[in-house]
Amino acid sequence: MKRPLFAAVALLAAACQQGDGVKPDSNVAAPAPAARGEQPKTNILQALNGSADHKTFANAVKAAGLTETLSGAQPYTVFAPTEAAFGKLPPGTANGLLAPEAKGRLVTLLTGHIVPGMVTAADLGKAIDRGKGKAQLATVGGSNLTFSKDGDALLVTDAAGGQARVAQADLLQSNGVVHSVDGVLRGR
Amino acid sequence: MRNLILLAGTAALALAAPASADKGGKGGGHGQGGGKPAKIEHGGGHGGGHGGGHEMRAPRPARAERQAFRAARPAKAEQRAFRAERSERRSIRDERRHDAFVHRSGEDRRDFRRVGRDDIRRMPEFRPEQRRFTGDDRLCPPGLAKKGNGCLPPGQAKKRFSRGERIERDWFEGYSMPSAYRGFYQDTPDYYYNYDDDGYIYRADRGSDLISAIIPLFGGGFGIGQPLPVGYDAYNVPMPYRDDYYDNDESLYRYGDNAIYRVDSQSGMIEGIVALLAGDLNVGQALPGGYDAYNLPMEYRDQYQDDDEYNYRYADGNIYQVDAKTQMIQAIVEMLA
Repeated sequence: MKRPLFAAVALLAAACQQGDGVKPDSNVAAPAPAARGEQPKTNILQALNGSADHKTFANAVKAAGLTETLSGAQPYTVFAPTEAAFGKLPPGTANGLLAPEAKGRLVTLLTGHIVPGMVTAADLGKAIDRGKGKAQLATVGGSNLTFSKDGDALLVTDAAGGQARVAQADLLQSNGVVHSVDGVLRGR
Repeated sequence: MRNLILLAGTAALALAAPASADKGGKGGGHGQGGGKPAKIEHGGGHGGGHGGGHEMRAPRPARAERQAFRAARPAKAEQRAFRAERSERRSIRDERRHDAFVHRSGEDRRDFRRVGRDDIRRMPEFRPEQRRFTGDDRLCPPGLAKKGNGCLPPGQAKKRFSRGERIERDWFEGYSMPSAYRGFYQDTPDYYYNYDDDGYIYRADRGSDLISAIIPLFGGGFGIGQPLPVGYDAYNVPMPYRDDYYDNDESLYRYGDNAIYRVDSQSGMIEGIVALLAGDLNVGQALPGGYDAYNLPMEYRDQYQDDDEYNYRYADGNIYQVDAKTQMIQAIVEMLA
């Protein structure tokens, strides 16, 4: 990459953190999963907004104009990078994604974290077993994510070869599921 | 002679004065004395002249009343009931609109298939790899064709290079064409294509390196806060989403480049993305890569479980039945609306 795309995301993250948003409960690390058999009361957007560990991702979703998508009725599976994941990115540059003309890039980046339908960790595990160690999911951004196992943990490899680990799986919501990942994924 | 001209001018002013004094603005100016009725759509418009056009002005409520009506919108259940009542009328209109869209888009190759439920008459295929935008002006989407700007919508000029400019090859090092578009934008002896990760593909002449077309992709032609590209006048939302996203007084909904966009009906500006579509599952085709895992929403899992005979996969508002052995998509068994 000639231009530091992810650095720009980091810049966005920094900018978002300086915003005047409601300070989330620091005790809430991630959206609370619904109890088994219980219908989740929150949607994906509400879960992200309520999570201290996904504040940057939630703000990026808002900046990209995807709030209605993730609060709508259609189901999605979201691999949401944690705050620590955004913290791994290189320092930002002036050419950030906050610029209006960079919205396309931001949307491309975010849609690389979103998969149609509802894929739970158990579904992924079965698919990996069936696929002899690997399973692929198509994102709505057009790229594929490849999943594998590392012991009990799920690993995700993006289209550029970057890897992340599913830090917390199966945060079930009324319109899909959120899996927390410890790395930012490259869409395409 | 001069007196005659002055007299004629005075008479003309006398005729025009009541019209201009009328709050209706242009009303009355064109009357021929024959009683031509006013145009109903434009309350104070070019109507009527001496024929009593004002009495026949439109029954359309005042803006304040319309706003009050919108403010007191019925509950969602009531809206659905209302929509059901008018569905027959709308279906005819939507079919016409859709036919026009398909025809105008030059996508006659789209076929319509019968699917598993009687109430689904036809279902358009929409695939990301379809040549929705192209570097050839003749094949541009409707409205963008013949603009001479390589399919670039007006007001979308937030690009790195302009048409006719010499391309800087170094700029594109490290960027690769999105996979969904590679098949359609392959280099030829005459042209080569570059993608700059800003949402645009540039077609350049191989000999001169001059840019001959600029093709907006996702996030380029349909940017949030930007005007809707020309050529999307007609409602074109895929069937499974039509109950949720239908045009109304406040918002329009348009499908393009794998997403459904909400557009302000007054300003024409894109305000949000309401749905993201994968767009790569179609009945009669093999299940593409990326659908290895079972992905049905919870409420459908009891009804449609993978077994030795069939697998089930969700995409774009539909649940597809897939032959477990051949991996061919056989039918749409549910539309989630």
